[in-house]
Amino acid sequence: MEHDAVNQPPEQPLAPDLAAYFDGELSDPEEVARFESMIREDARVREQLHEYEVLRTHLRRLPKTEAPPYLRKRIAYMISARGRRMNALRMVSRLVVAGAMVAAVVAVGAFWNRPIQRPGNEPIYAAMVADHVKYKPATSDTELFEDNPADLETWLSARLDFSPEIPRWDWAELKSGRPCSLNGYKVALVRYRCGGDEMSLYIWPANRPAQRDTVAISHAPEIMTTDLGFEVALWSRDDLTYGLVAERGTTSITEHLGNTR
Amino acid sequence: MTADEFEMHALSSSDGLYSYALRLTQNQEDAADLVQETFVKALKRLEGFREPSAVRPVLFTILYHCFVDLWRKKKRRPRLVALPDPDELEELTSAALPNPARYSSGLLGEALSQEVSAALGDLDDELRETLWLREIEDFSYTEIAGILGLPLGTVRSRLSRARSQMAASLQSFAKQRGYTNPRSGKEGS
Repeated sequence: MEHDAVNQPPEQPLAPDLAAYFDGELSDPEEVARFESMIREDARVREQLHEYEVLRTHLRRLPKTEAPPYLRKRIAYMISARGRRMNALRMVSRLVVAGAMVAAVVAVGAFWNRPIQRPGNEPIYAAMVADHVKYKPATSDTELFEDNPADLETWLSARLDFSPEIPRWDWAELKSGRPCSLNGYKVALVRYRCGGDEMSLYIWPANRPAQRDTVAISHAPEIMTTDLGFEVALWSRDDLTYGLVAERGTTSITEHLGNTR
Repeated sequence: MTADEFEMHALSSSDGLYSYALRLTQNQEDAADLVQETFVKALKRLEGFREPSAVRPVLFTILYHCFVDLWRKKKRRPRLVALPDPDELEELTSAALPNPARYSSGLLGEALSQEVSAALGDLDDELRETLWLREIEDFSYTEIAGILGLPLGTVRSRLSRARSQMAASLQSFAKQRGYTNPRSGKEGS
């Protein structure tokens, strides 16, 4: 039985669902079927849908307002300016990426082609200072604590392929000796105490690669001062080269070795 | 999305945006500023646009948020009104009575666009904004919910209420003008 919408009390919205049905926003097929059934059977529902339709027609006939030309131009300009900026940024980012890749390739190449630290490449005085700084007394197996130079020479000769001749100095107290490595070559390290400081004396056969960078080590000690506060003396005698490192302080090896010239 | 793609979709929305902004602000300069501000903000997030179909709803969302911010700053909200069609207005003022024959059947069919505009203007702001986005801009419920920041159910109920109120206003108008309802055969008072 049909209802007469006009003779019914003022229509309350059937439900927001009817508007949703009208707008095609109902997704549930059962709900759609329910409304279709109501439309067939209920004149009020048909009337309401008709009102929706007429209302839509009138609303869509309302005057359309166009954006002013200046506004459209301004918007177009803003978009194109943004586009140019994006393109510029894109270009810059591409250049940055390309630059980074080139830099990476150069860095990798430089790494693989870097000068290899071969024995003898480091200046001998620098190698001696570095070894002196990191010195720590070793165990009795690797370092002999002996104040007798002859005994120490014997012990060192048994552990090296040369016989180091240990200087006898009255101004320094012999403490110990051991083999060590300078620029990858085995040398003798002899430790002395002088005043409150300790000194390292390195001995190796003359003309060994370890001293390759040194030019013509003379018999007279060549003394140099490093910017780290060390004094280094280099000299040769009897086919042996000597390198002495001491901290510059109360002890002045210049003063003592000057007497050996 | 490139600026060119964005431009293609955005420019086609500029009339709708301006029209909506004009009805929100009631002022041409404010509407133009609102649209311009909308594009300034949209262009800042241009890289975020993926789907061309999303451009229009996002632009309306930004515009609405800009308007709400403006309203919050001003501590008041400009009233939204529908602008009368100049042609309709002239026709109304020149004719003693509108010719009922030119309208479609039913009470609502008797209404003039002028009255439709007035009825739209009488709606509460939130109902009018929702109805406008649906009927004029043809956004889906989901898009409207996104633009206005509302749950889907609220969009449904607002649309239903807006239509009911519009219908009541227009029926009242038609009856006042004495238009008959051809369906019922009754005359208005």
